[in-house]
Amino acid sequence: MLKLTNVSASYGRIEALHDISLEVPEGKIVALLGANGAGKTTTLRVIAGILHPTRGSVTFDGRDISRMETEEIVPLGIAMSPEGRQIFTGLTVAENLRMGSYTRKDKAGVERDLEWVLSLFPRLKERLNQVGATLSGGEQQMLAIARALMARPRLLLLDEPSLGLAPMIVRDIFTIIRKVNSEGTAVLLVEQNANLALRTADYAYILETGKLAMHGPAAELRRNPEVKRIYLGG
Amino acid sequence: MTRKLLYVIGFAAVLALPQVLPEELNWLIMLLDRALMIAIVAIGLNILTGNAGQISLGHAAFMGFGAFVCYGLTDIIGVPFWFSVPIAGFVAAILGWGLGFPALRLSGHYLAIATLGFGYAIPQILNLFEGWTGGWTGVKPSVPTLFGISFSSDRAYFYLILVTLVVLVWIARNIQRSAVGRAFIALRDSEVAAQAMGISLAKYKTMAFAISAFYAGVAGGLWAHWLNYISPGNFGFGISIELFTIIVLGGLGTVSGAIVGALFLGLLPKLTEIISLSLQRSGAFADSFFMQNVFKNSNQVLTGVILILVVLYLPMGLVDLWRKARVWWETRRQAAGRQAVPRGVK
Amino acid sequence: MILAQQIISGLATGSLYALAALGLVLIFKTSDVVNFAQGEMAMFGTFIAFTLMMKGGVPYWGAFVLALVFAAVFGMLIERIVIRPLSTAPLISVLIATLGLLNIINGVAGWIWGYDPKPFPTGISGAPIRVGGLVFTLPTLLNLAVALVLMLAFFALFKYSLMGIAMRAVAENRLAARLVGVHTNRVLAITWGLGGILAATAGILIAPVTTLSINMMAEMQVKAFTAGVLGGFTSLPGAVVGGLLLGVLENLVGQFIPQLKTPFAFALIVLVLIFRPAGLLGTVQRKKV
Repeated sequence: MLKLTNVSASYGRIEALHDISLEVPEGKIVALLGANGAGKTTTLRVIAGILHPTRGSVTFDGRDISRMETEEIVPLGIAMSPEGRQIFTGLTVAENLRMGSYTRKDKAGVERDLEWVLSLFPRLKERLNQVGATLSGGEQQMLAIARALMARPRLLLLDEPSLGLAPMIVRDIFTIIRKVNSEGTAVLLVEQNANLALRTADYAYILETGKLAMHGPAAELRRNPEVKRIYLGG
Repeated sequence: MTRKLLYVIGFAAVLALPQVLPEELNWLIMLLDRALMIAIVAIGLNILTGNAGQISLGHAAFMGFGAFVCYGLTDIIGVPFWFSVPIAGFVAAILGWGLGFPALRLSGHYLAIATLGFGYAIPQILNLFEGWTGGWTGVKPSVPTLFGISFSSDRAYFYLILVTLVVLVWIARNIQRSAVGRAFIALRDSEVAAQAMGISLAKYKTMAFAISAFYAGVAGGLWAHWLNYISPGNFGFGISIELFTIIVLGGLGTVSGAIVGALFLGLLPKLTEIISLSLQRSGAFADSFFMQNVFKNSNQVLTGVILILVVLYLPMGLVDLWRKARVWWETRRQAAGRQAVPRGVK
Repeated sequence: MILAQQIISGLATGSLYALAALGLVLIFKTSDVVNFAQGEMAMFGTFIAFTLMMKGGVPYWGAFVLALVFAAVFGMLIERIVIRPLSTAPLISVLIATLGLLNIINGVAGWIWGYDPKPFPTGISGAPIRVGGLVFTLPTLLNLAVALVLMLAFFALFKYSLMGIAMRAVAENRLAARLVGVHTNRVLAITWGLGGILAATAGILIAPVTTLSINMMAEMQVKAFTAGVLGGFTSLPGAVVGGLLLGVLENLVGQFIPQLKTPFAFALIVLVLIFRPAGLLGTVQRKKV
């Protein structure tokens, strides 16, 4: 469904990604792992159209989206919960969710999805009319994911959903991620918490300073001694 | 070595200028006088905005305030001019320090609006004290004298302004290099980080306002006794914008930028005047209502265009352009130098 | 009774302040820019209306509408050419750019239309309405009505319509807005187009009082800022409330302490910003560290 082929990308003169190729098949969860600065967020930015690749191509359902702008990519079926959550702090939870479905024209579908999303995140339902700034970190992360889900994406990009959150909340969020995936949404998950990511994903890619170091089925990588040593704490 | 020599020659030339300049170029001295006094205010504003990052859109108010204080001291109370000017500076600094307090809670847009309001309020308030400021009709400050020499001519006043400018430039440079200057820059770059480092926002923000007001007040005092006529309405938004344009055009954060900007903007009207006069004399546009209006007022649009072009294409100002030119020149010189060395010689 | 009449007179002037403030606050709220050129845009739009009426023979309301169209396009052009390239520049740069625009628009208006003030007609004429012992002139009622209608319209826009919510989202976090598929550039263009429309509306209703000249908005602008500050720069109803309140207060001050009438508005800006920067109806914008 999503395919990156030999993608390189730079910030100005600094090359952040070199010759990355990866794939997210329909309906699967793929993890993107690596240390800080390895290029994971950059990869997501390239997919979402925030950054354009200097070489290589990004295709979604066979269509080349490498040169497209973010606002044109989203209606194609890709939604992102970005680094740092980036919720609209001045808008209420309800308004945030409304913005999530901005590109959709089917009112009935949006209504249904709103109910579905609120059933996934009961905490958000309680705070529907509260302004984003008043939510806790965990609730904001939930809102960011919920907002992305309101677009009914076929591919969900998640950037560090566990960052700065208490373990119990992280567990809840990952349960929801699995649930969403079971209903057919593919997920590309960027995570520093390699353990959790490898337990959730079907397949994983590991980046090292902008290059692809390793990739394979998640179960295999979990048993790999190299991976265990570097990313799973021995 | 040659650079120092150039500076000395340049300075000597500046000193000699009023003596050697022919009668027909009297307007040049007048323009220079005006530009250099504005430069003094600009240097102060630059410390506030360029170094400390505090926007002030009403700075002409301090200049006007200083002008009237100086006039009041010299002509109403009878303090000698030479004391009135610095005292006017200090009194203006107190006003500036006072404005610093409300500014503590504001930044960015809100500070800009507050200083805008301040810039309008002060002249209005000055207007109310008709006994002192003459209200709308204004007052006529006297001509200063020293040891029997009367500074009524623009040429004589030139030296007065020059001396003040040199002293104040020296002070400004020293402030920039000192711990205070560094605190200002920390303030500009991140108020939160500065506080985290133990830099007292209250102390340095009010200090920045006070210092910049001092400069404006001194310049105002000089202005009053140069022009020999001031009224509260003279120190309004027009001058505040001019000041702002100067520091942006010259280069925010640099003392030389303030002076370069002031000279540029001070001499530009003359240039446009010469062009429009010659166009008018040629009779080319005699019938055009539009062009006649253009001749009457081209500076405003020019200033506006300059502001926008600078902000879009030359955000670091004219001094940065100069720096870039020198770097380009240096690299070319070095490249040529390398080629000139014959092979085999290390 | 005199007090009541003073209040009405204050509301009359106040509604002009409110109209002038609406455009300012809209643009600030949605694109985070204090548009110092707002007053000049108002003046320019009014001159266009004037030219249409005098040279083009277009009747008042037709000229009004056409001027609004012009102003909308004008606003969108300014956004595209000057504001958008500066979206990544520091705050001070955009401020400077709008100051530059102020100069350019004011100067060019002088070139085109000259420097003599001209009278400008009101949209409504006829005998004033008397209720009890109070007198309401028709233009006053018109201005009040327009201000209130616009206030309600924008309130509804921002609270209930998707475009309004999208505008607020864009103002807050452009990246996140793009990530949900908002064409932020289009939204900003619309914002400035609306700002232009509000400017021209204010100008056309203000000109009969101040007479039409290139500097007609000079003092009005500062009053507009005061109104915005008083009501809260992030609230459009606030702009209207602030304007009306300012008009009334100013008039009352003028009644009891005449000398303070003129500096009142200017001093009020500073005072409100010291003690209550968010104004009456605005929200304090929390800064992200």
